[in-house]
Amino acid sequence: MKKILFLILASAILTTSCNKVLDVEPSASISSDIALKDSSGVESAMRGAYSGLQAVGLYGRNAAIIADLAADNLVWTGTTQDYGNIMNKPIPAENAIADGMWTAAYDVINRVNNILYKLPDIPYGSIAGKNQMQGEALFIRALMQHYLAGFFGGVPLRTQPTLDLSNLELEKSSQTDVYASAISDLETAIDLLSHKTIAGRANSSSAKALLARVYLSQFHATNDAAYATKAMQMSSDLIAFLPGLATKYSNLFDPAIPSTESIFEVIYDKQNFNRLAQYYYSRNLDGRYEIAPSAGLIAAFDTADVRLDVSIRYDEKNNPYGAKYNDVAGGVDRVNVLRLAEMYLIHAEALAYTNGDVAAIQNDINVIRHRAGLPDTEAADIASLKLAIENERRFEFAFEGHRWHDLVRTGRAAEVLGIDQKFTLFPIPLSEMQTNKKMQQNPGY
Amino acid sequence: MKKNVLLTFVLTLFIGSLFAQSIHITGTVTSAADRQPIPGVTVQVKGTTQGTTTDLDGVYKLEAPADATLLFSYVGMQAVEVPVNKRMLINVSLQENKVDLGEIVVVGYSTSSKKLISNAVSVVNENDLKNAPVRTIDGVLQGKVAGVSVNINSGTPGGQNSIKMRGGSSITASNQPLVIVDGMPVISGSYGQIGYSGQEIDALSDINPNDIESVTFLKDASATAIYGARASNGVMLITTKKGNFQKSSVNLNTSYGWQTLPAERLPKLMNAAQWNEYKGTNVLGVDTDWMKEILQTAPTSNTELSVSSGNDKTRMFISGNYFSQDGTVKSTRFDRYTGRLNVDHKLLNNLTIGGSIMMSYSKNNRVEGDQTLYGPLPNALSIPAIYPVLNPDGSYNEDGPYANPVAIIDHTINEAFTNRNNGNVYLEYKFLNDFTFTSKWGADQYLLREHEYDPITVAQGAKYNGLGIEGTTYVSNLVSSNVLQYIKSVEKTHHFEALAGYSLEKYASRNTYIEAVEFPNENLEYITSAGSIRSASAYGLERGMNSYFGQFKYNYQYKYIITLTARADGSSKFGKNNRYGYFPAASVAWRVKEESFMNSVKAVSELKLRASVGLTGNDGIDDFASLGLYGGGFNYGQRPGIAPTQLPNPDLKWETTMQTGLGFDLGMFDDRISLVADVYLNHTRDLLLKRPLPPSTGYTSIFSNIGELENKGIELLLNTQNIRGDFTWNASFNFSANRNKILLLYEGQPIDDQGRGGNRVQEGEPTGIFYGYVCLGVDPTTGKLVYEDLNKDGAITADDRQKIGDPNPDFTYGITNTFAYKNIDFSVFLQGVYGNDIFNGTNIYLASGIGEDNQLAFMADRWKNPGDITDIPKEGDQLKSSRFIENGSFMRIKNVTFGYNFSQKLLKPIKLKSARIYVSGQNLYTFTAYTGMDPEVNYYSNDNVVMGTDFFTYPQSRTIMVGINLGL
Repeated sequence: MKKILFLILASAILTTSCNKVLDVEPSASISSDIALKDSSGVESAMRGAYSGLQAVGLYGRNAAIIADLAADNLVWTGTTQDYGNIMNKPIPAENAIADGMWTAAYDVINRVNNILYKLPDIPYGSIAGKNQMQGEALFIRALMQHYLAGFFGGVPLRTQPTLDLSNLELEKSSQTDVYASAISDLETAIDLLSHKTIAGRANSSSAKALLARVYLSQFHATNDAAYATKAMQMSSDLIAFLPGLATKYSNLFDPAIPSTESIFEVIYDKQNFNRLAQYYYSRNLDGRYEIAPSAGLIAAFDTADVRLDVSIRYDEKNNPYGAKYNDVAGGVDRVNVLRLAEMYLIHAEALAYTNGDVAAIQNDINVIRHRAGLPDTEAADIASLKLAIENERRFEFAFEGHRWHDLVRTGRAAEVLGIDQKFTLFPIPLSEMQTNKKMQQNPGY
Repeated sequence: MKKNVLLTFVLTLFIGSLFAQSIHITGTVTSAADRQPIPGVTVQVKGTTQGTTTDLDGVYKLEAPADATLLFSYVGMQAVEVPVNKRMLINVSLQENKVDLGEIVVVGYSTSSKKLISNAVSVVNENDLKNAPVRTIDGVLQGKVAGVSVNINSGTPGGQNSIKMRGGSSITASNQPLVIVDGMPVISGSYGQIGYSGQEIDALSDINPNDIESVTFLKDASATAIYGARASNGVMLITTKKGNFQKSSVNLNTSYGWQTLPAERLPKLMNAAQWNEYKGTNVLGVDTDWMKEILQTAPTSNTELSVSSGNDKTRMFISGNYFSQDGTVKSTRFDRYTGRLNVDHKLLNNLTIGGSIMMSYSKNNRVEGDQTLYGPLPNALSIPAIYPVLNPDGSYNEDGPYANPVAIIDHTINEAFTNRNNGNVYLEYKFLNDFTFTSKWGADQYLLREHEYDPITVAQGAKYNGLGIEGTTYVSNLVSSNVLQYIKSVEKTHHFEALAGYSLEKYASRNTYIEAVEFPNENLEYITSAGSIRSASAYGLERGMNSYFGQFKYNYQYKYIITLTARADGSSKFGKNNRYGYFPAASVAWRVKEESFMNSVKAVSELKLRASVGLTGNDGIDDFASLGLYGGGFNYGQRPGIAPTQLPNPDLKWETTMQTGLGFDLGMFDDRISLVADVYLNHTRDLLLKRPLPPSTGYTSIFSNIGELENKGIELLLNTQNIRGDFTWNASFNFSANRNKILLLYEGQPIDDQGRGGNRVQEGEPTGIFYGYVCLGVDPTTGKLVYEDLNKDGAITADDRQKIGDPNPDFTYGITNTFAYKNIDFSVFLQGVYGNDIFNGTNIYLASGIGEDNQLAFMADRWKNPGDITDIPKEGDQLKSSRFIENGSFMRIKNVTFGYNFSQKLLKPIKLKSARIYVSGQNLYTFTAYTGMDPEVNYYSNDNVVMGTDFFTYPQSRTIMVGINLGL
C-alpha cells in the first residue's frame, strides 16, 4: 500500500515537469512586430523619437553646451575631463561626449526610420494624420542629419531602419550630400505638416525654419548662391507668417511664460528632465559648474545689452555662470532649438554673403539689436556686416548651441579660435571607427 | 530496548552466579575526534550475546569474565576490541569509521568518498571558515582554494565580492560560479537599484558562515556538467550543518573586533601650506585633514548560538546569529540577524523526511561609492586642506570643489534592508534494497528595500530641496529536483552508482522605484512628504529552466574509476530554435596505490591519477536577449512613448566551454604530505558576446554567439604535517596560475576603452588588458607629458595606443601554517597575488596638476621652470597612459590567530565541554609596491572586462579581534 502511495507521489512530482516554465514573455518590452501595427503604436513611437531628442548627447545637455565650449563662449571649469578635451583641441577620437552625441543622434534617426518604414502599411482614418506623422519623422531625421554634419562633416546617411544584422556598415556621404538629403526631407515635410502648434512637436513652421538653416549651411558648403536665395526666401516667409519676436528677451528662457517666438523646442517635465542648469550653475548655487562663460564672451558683450544679464550672472563668490537655464532641481527648462530671431540673422547672413543690399542686412540686424536694448548697428559695409552678424549671433544665441557652427560654416573658426583648420571637424568616434570598416576618419585624427 | 537490558541483566546475574570470576566493569566511551561522550554505543562480551549500551553520558556498566574481551561498536565508528585483563574501569575512545576511502564530500546531487572522486573537486570545511572576522561566505573563502580566486572589491561592509574559478570563461555573460545551498540554486549577486558603482551589496552576504559544514568547489566539467548550462564558471556547493543522532551539543561563539584603515596605506596628500605653495594662494588658518574627519576605528562583533541534537530517529540543528560591522568610513555599517533550523526525521526505516529553513534580516548603512560626486571617501581625498569642515556660523562649508563629505556622513541616509527566507523540504525513500528516490522542493525569497534621503543640509539634497529614493526588489526562485539513485556492489569488486533526475526552476523578480524631490523639512525623510515625483517605475521579470540529468559511476575494486555525466537544460532565455542545450562529460581515475606492485612502496600512502573531459554552458545574460524589442518609458510631453531597444537574434544560444583536465592526488608517509595537482585547458566557444555595433545603426551592441577564448592553468594544493606529537606544525599551500587568452572576436574587432582604466578585449591577449598611450616622461622645456608616437605621424591620436598593462595575475597563492602545543594553537595565513597591473585611476585627479582637486604631496615637486628634469608634469592631461599603470602584486598577512583551549580538568567542574579563547588579526600588513590605498580593490565590482582599476575605492580594513567559543 505504502509503495503504491509513493509511486503515485513520485509520478505526480515527475509530471509537474512542464515546458510551461520556459514559455515566458517579456513584460516590460514588446516585440517589434506588434509595436508598430496601428496608428496608436505609431503615435507612441513618435513620442519615443521625440524623447530621444532629450538625450544627454542632444538637447538634454550637450547640444546646448558643446557648440559653445568647442568655440569661445564657454570654458571648462568642472571635473568631467571629456569636457576639457572638447575645449582643448584636438579632441581624442575616444572622447565620450562626442561619442554620446553621435550615438544619440543615430538612435533618434533609427527611431524615425522605423516609423517611416512601417507607416505606408498602417491604416489611418484620415490622410492628414498619416501625413503629419510622416512630416514629423522627416523633420526629426533632417534635424539630426544637420546636427551630425555640423560637427562631424560627412557622415553615413541612414534612411532605412536597422532591422537585423544585415547592412550594418555604411560608408560616409559627403557633408553636402547629407545636407541635400535633409533639404529633400524638409521640402517634403513642409507640405505634409499642419500649421497647428503643439508644445514640443514640429509643425510646418518648424520644418521651414530648419530648412532655412540647412539651406544656409548648404550655401556655405557649396557656394551655390541658389541656396542663399532659398534661405532668404524661407526665412522671410516665416518672418512674415509668424507673430514676431518675444517682447522681452528674458521671457524666452522662462518656462512659466509661453514663448511666442519659439518655432521648435524640446520640452521637459519632472520625470524627463534635462541637466542644463545643473551643469551651468556654480557649485555655490548647487550646480556642477562643469562649464562657465568665458572671459572673452563677457568682455565682448556691450554692457547695455539686456542679453548680458539674462545670459550671465554671478554667484556670491563672484563666479560667472551661464544663466539661461535655471531649474537646477527640476531640470524642466525649455530648450530652444529653432526660434524666430535666427530667421532674421539667417536672412541677413544669406544676404551678406551674396553681397546683398546693405540696408536690408542692417535692418535684419537692428530688429535683433533693438529688442536687446541696443542702438542700430554701425556696420555699413559687407565685411563689417558679416562680422556684425557673427557677433549678433554670438550674443543672441549664447549657450544655445550655435557658436561653433557659425564659425565653422563661414570658414572663420580656425582664425577666430586659433586652431588648425583640420580640427574644425570633430573626430569620427572610435566606437564607429572600430565597428564600421567602411568608415573613414576625418583628417588629423 | 528496555527488555533487552533487563534480559541482559538477568542473564548476567545468572551467568555471574555460575562463573565466580566475573567482575563488574564500567567506563566511558568517547569520540576520538572531539573527546565527547557517545551515547548508545553497543558494548558486547565477545563470543556471547551478553552486552549493554552506553547511557547519555557515554557510560556503560556490565559484568563479564575477568579474561573476556569487550567489543565496542557504534554506527559510523570503527569497532574496537578491548581485553578486560581483570580491569574494572575501561575507558574507550572510538575512531570515526573512515575505512580507507577518506571523508565523504558532497558533489552534484550525491555524495562521494573523496578518494573515489575522479574529477577536480576542492573542499573547504567548517574549521577553515572559523575565526575570520569577515562574516560573509565569500570573504572567508579568500585564498583557501587552489583555482578559486576571491577578490574583495572594496572594504564596504556587506559589499559584493568577486569569485572566479579557473579564470573568467566569458566576456559578456556572467563569470561568477553557480551557488547551490543544500542542493538548491540560490539567489546571489547584486539586486540594488540605487547605483553604488563597485560597492554593490550581495545576496550571498545573508548566509551565516557558521552554519556551513562544508563548501565543495566543483572545478572541472566532469564534476560540474551535472549542472549543465550554468556550470562553465564552476559550481560552489554549500552544505549547512545537520544535527546529530543521539548526541547533543550546544555552542556559543562570540567575538569582538576593531577595524582601522592601515595608516601606512593612506595617501600622502598636500597639507594647507603645500597647497598654498602649489596653487600660489595664501589661505591661512585652516588645515583640514579630511580623511581624519571621515574615518574611524570601527567595531565589529559576532555572536552565535547553535544547538545540534537528536535521538535515534530525529536530528536537528538550530542556530541564531547576530553580526555587526561598522565601516571604517563613518556612518557605514552592516547588521545581520540570521536563524536556521535543519531537521531530519526517519519516518520509517526506509523513509526519511526533512527540511531546512534559513531566515535572515540585514540592514546595510551605506555611503555613495567612488563613481559619484557625493561619496565621502573620494570627496575627502579630493578636497584641499584649505577648506574648513564648518563655517564660523556652524553650517557646513561647501566652498570646496566637491560636496562636503562630513555633511554627507552626518545627514545623508542610505539604507538597504534585506529579508531573506530560504527553505526546502525533502523526502528520501529507499526501496528494493539498492534504489533511493529523493524529491526536494525549495524556495528562496529575497526582499530588498532601499531607502535614501539627502536632506537639504547636504549638497546633493540642497540641489533638489531634499532628494528621497525608495526602492523595493522582490526576487523568488522556486526549485524542485527529483532524483532516482541506484547503488550496487557486486562481490566487492564491481561498484555501480547511477542516478537520473529532473529539475525545474521558476525565477521571478519585481521591482518598484520612486525618486522624489522638494521636501518641506529635513526631518521628513519619506516620499509621502515630497513635493514632486521625479521618477517612478515598476518592473517584472520571469524566467524558467527545465532540466534532465543523469550520472553513471563505476569502479573496479576501488581501483579503476569512471564517471559519466550528462545534462539537458532548457532555458527561457534563449530563442525557440536553441532552447535546449546538452552537456556531456566523462572522467576516469586510476588509484595506483591499490595496485599490488605499490605494496612495497611504503612511503606512498595514496596515488591517484585523474583525467576528465566535458562540455559545460553559460546562460548568464539578460533575459529575452534573442528578441527584437520595443521598450516603454520613452515618454514625451507626459504621454507614453516607445522606442526600439534591441535587435533580434533568433539563433542566440548557450555559450559552451570544452573543459579538459588532468590531475593527480599524492599522499606520502601516511598522508603526512599530500599533494593535489591539476592542469586544465578550457576552451569556450560561441561566446555570448555583447558585440559592439556601429552606433550609426542606432544600436551600440547586440548579443551574439561570436568568439572564442581559452583558459589554461595549473593548480597545486600541498598539505603537510611537518611535526607531530605534543607540538604539531601543519602547513597548507595552494597555488593557482591561469592564462586567459581571447582567441576570436567578431571580425577581430576589439572591445575598446572600457571603464576608467581603458580595459580592452582583443584577439590574442588576455581579457581586459590596459590599452593606452606610453608615457615617455616630461619634456624639460615645456613641462608637458610626452607620449610615444607609435605610428610616427607626428600627432598623438587613438592609433598611438598600445598594450600598457595586464590586470590578470601570473599566479595567486595562499599559505597557512598552523602550530599547536598542548592547549595552545597559532596560525598564520598569507595570501598573495603576483604579476598583475593596476590602473591607478585615482591619480588621474590627485596627480593632475590641474583643476581644484587636492593633490598628492609629491606634486609639489612637479616641473616648474624650463630645464627642470622631473617625471611629474606641470599639468597632466587625461590620457589613459602608462603613467597610471602600477605593479599590483601583493602579499598580505591575511590572518594571524592565537588561540587557547581550556583543559577538561578546568571545564568539568563548571559543566563545560569545551572552551576556547582567541585573538585574531586580519589584513595585518600588505607587502606591495602599489602606491594606492589597496592593491586588491576594483571600482567596477564584478565586471568581466573592467578589472584592476582603482578609482577612489573604499579599501579593506585591518581588524584585530578577540573571541571566545564555548561548548556545553
